[in-house]
Amino acid sequence: MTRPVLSEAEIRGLALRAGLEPTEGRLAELAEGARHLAVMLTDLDRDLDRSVESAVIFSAERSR
Amino acid sequence: MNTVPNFPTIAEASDLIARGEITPVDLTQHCLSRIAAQDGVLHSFLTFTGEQALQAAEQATAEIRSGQYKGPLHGIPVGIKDIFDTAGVRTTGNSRLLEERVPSETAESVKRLEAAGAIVLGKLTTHEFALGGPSFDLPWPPARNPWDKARFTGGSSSGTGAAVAAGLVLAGTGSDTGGSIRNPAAYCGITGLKPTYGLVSRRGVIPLAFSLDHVGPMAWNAEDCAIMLQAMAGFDARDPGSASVAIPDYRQALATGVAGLRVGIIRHFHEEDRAAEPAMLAAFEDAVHVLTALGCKVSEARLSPLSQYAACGNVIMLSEAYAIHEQDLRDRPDMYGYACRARMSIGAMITAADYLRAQRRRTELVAETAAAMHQFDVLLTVTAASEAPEITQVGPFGSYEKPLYTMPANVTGSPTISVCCGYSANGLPLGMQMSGRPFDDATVLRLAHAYETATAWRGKRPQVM
Repeated sequence: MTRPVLSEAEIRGLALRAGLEPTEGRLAELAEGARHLAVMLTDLDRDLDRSVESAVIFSAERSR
Repeated sequence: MNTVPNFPTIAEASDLIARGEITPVDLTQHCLSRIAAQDGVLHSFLTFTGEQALQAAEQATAEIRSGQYKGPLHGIPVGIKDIFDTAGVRTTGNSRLLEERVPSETAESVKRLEAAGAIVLGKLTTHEFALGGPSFDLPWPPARNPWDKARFTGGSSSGTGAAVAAGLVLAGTGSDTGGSIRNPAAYCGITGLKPTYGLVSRRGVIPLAFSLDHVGPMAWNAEDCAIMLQAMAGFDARDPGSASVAIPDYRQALATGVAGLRVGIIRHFHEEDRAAEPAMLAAFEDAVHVLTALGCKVSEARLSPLSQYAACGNVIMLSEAYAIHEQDLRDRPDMYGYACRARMSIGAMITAADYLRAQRRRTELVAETAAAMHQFDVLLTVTAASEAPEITQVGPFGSYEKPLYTMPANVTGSPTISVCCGYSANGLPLGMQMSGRPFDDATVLRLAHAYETATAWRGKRPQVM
């Protein structure tokens, strides 16, 4: 699954929530970062089973 | 004053000191002259402590003369990356946020170097908070590569890479969260060891990402890294990540041969996942032949794609870094340089679920690498895709555009060294990595030493104009 790049509105919302002043320059920086983040998260997801079942197995293995 | 040979290694200089042929004062003055002549171009130092260094050198000389020789670091001039606290000496992380900060306590690893007799010549430049760079909007300019001052040094331990390569110091400290020791080691043609996670205390070092940060030595060769590591390594109850393990004699371990050592080549990292440039690939294959000739049993190794290690490491690093800098990024963002602020701000967009997913993926990647290490003693890959690029060509998001070959060892915590494995057509150094089992730093140093001894690469030094 390819992770989508965050939209301008989502980035603005996250910036406000994080308390980052949403100036034009700051939003542009975040937009560039969001593009790279989408690629990273897509790579991260590639071989990771995100199902609850796999989490149960993972949890059991970790506590072994 | 006795004459100091040009570009002495720690091993050579300490032999001369032990034999009384040169003194720590001779050696320190030699380095101070080189700094005066070259650092106006290289910008490797951001705080210079020449006077204190000379005083310490005089004391070391007196100690040695009175029979109190401490060992191979006694009287050896070193530099300290400016994210390591030094009591009474400004420690800034090359950031306006900490421009006037003077710590009251020295970082544990630096204390240990000083206790072994090392002479600190000053603080070496770094990318801001060991993350953003190269940058031209920080309090101090970026370091320049001694092999070609138009080239990038690599980072973030940029000043240490430049100063060691140019012979301004005999060794220095670096920190490594995604490759910050090994990358400048490769681009500057020196040897840099990222030790096993927890082997060297990080107390008193400005953190970037708690679970990925490592501290280690950078020097001209593996033998000097072994000497530095001997002093730096060891349990520190005040570093929560510190490991209580026995510390072997790293230098003595170099004497054991490497015949029979099982070396796994992770070719897919630099051939399929992120193709390195032809000159780099050719140098790497030549190095594989050298290891084979030394008696190593070389075969292919296969792990998950490089991009997955990189993604896992980057998501963790950016989340943890953001957690540290959240308040300042919110309240005074303009105090950061552009590159550091832009990179760190990505952390504001990472969810807790993604951070935990990255930690879970990390567990799998650690297990995968550990399984591979049942078959191999050392894994081999390139350090960088090419020679050092032009410094003006490195963008703020460069390390996210293409996966770093260095990040896997931060994810796994494995001891990994970068050694010079040749030179490009432009005469610039090329680097490769050797990675071992956790806490088997001695084997990594041993293989690196055997390789360096079998090749001529350590005989060439940059000529800084």
